[in-house]
Amino acid sequence: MSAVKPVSFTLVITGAPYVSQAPQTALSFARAAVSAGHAIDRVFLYGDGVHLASSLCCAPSDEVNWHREWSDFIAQQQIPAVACIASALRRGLVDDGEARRYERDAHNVQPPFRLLGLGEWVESMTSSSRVLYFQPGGGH
Amino acid sequence: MSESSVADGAGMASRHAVLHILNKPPGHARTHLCLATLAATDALVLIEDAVLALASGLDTSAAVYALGPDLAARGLAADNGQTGVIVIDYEELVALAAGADKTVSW
Repeated sequence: MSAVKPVSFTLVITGAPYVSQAPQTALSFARAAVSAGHAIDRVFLYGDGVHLASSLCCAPSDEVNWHREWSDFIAQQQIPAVACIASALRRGLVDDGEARRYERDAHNVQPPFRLLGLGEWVESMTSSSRVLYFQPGGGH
Repeated sequence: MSESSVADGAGMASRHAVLHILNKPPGHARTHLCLATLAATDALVLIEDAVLALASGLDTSAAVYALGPDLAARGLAADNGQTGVIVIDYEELVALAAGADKTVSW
């Protein structure tokens, strides 16, 4: 595998945790990519994928907390992790600033996750060599 | 189905025109579209519920890879009787994605 040149990936997650396998597959992929010497430029959460950014997720103690797993990984690796603000707001995911702007009494998005607009997405499309999507499954 | 393929990360990079990554189960509309789109020079990677296609049978001339951990999670054997399918791990999936010129996530 050493013959493969190091590349940079942008990972786009559009499937929600506990509903789809997308956050789990993406994390396994990201860990393997980093181990192989590749770079993860950024992780972009879009559509239902923004639920991964909720710090209020309370997974049962015998299940994986995907929010925490991802938070630990992106903090360790210093990978920018961005949730699309338009997807996030309408699903009840707000950071401190948006909570104040919309006069909500709580917020559930905090570092290392951030809320940003599609401009960030456009930037990643132009700067990253590889963009990979991790989408919802199709049910049975 | 390609018979000459080897499960070697370096070897499998850049041989395929397009890398198709499918996560939808057999019978899903996207699965039909994906299989209809596959060219003989492409590669298909089955992940998540798409690995169930190995139980129901798969007819394509493209190279087919299946993600081992997803096979194991669904109680499927390595190739489940389907010849020519190459079982890969996440490291090999990364190598395929890094080596591909074009990737389509279905």
